[in-house]
Amino acid sequence: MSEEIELLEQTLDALFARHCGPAERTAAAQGLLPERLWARLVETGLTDLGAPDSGAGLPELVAVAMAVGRAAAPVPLAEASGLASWLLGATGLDPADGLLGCATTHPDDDLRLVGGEPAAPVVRGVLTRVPWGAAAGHVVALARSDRGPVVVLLPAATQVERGANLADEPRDTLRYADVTAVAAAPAPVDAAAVLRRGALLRAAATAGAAGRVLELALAYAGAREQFGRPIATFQAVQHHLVVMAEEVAAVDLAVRVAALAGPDTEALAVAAAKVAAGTAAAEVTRRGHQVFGAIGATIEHPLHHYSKRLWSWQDEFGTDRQWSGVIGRAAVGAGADALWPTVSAPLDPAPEAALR
Amino acid sequence: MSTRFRPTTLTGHELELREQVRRFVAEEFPAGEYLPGLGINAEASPEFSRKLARQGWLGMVVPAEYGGPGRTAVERFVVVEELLVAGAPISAHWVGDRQTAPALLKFGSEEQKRRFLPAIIGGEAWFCLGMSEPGSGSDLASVRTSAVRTDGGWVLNGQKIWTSGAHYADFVVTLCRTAPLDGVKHAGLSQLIVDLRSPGIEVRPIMMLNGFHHFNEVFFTDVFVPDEMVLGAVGDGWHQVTSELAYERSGPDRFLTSFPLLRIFLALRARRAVGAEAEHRIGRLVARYWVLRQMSLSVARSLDAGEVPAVEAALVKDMGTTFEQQVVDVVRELADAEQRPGGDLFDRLLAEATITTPTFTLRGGTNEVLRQVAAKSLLRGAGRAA
Ligand SMILES: Cc1cc2nc3c(=O)[nH]c(=O)nc-3n(C[C@H](O)[C@H](O)[C@H](O)COP(=O)(O)OP(=O)(O)OC[C@H]3O[C@@H](n4cnc5c(N)ncnc54)[C@H](O)[C@@H]3O)c2cc1C
Repeated sequence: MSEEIELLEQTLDALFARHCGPAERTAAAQGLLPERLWARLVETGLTDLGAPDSGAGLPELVAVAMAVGRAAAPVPLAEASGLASWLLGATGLDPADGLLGCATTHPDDDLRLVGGEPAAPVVRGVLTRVPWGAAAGHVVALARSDRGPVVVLLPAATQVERGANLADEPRDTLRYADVTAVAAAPAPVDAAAVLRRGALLRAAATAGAAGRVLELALAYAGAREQFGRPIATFQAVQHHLVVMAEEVAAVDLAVRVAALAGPDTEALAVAAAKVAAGTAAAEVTRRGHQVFGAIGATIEHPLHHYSKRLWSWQDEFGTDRQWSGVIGRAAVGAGADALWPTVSAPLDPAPEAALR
Repeated sequence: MSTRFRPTTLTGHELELREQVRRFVAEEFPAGEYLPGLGINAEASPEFSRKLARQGWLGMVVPAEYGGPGRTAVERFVVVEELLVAGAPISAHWVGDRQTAPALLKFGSEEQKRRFLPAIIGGEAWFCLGMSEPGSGSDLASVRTSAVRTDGGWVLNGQKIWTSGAHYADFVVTLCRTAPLDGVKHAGLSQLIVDLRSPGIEVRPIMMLNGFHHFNEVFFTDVFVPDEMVLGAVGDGWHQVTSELAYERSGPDRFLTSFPLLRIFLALRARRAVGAEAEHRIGRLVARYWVLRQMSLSVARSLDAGEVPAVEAALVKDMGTTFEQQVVDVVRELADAEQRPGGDLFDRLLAEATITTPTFTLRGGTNEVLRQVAAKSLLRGAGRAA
């Protein structure tokens, strides 16, 4: 890992350690952006990290998402840096003030251009379950047009249907009835690329959260005593811990590898990371809760901040079943002889960071 | 994170080696004609192993001073994974290449290295592992086979079991007691390199479920073992076998065993791979292959960096071998038919895979015991962090 990334992780861990208390969580659960924390993130440039001029690439953005997961941070930092500022930046459009939301290419999205000028088109349609959509000052989205997909920068929606995931993270559905976009440009990437990136960021956050549950479980198992000894001495408990460690290691590595993958391997690497995230989420929540016993099933205990996120993130930006379907369709289509070359494909070009 | 798996990939030079291996494998095993072996359950073919030797692909990690090519763990990984994917008959050289060569390099005397390493590299000597006994499986330190001092060496008595390849191997690396049990059972153990042609040795076959003669019982009755055949220091046996395990644990042989089955399923039962459900299930397998291979490769890379990724290797073995079994389950369910052991290539391979699956999570130490070892060190790590 490069020193810059290590520094980034330390900065984020420290920020979140200071600013993810009950007050922030309560605000976030009501759809209110925790102001102080967000202001600190904006100040440090972390919310714009995906912009082309920041010099950060996927490995950095993945590190950010992992840190969000590790802290169960109640802020849309991974979306703002990894998706919104990236997508907007790729078009050369100027960033907007306030929280910049980003649509997720949800299967129920339907947004199209219905008129106006090319630089300020009129759009109509719906963006489904946008992270922090109601709190966003502006929203970046892909819209359909006769000349192909267009990136539009939209004002805050006036028609909002508030929603949330299991962890009370806002997921708001936004309707635009002939609204003039603030800015627009031909999309430099397609919806599949946005979805892939979102999936990778969710997998990264999953790796962070699942890793934290493992740490908590190891510590708890060492401290909690029953039958006169720490429960960590029971083999059945040890097996839970080991399987958790395995799945955490798998998703963690899968995500880091995917962040380095080139055009030939990106599709498989990201899909595999999201599938690994699904498996990790399932094993780590089930086994993690088993290790904690009843205390873990209460609001009192911090475990739920992680497990509820893991349960939600499994299915965001494509369920793991959809992603395994993508991999399987490609593998079956390519046939038996392509199977091993696919599985063993090198990251290309060989990233220097991967060879140290 | 309590474990360290760093992303890595093959370099241009490693990819060139791989192309060489792929060309070799394609010639040796023309697709559609060859019934692939399943990992280290594959047959032993001294002839094939010697062909590999001529390519320079046995004992690859042995440095030039002992006649080896001085290749890296990753280069060995590259060769081994291609052979496993093809289902090549690798058993003859397997133990010598994977286990004995690194053990000799690490613990062997100068004389042992000069004698055995060139023989491993040249495909001239086959080794097997005499660890398990009828009374000592998972509890390996409880072995009772014992060696007693005599003039110029040791007199060995006892019995080993499940000794893979003892019927064709030249040497059995034998874990035995060289000092009487004195409270601490991990002390007083040594490994002897025993010539299987020595007087007093009897090898009796044991048949596996597939009728295959893979492993054996080995009886030692007053077998003389000269001093120079003690591996490393007398009494160092437990340390040796536990540190060898890091090499043994996490290689491609721990997740690719049933790969040929999935490949042949796609080739010969393509119509069973149609539809969303089949694609989803196959996609899960492919995703897991991708990730496990990255993990296993990462361990090889860190061995080359001089690290000892013992927990990482244990996790990969547990996950990998469990997964090898899942692959067989998924393929069988997708094939959705009665098993016909006498059918086509796919039927035969599925039958073979089905009845060898139990061995995947046993050999080299059972997964239950492996998890226990891994858990202890994860908990120790967490204790340190706290
Ligand atoms: C195909 C094959 C090839 C082999 N080749 C060799 C070889 O070449 N040389 C060699 O020396 N050995 C070889 N073995 C033996 C192998 O190492 C042993 O099978 C293995 O160590 C387990 O020992 P066991 O079979 O006696 O089972 P046991 O140790 O009796 O275990 C039986 C069951 O009890 C469980 N168990 C035991 N102890 C514990 C514990 N503390 N906690 C939880 N569960 C426990 C085990 O996990 C297992 O499920 C081979 C085995 C196979 C299947």
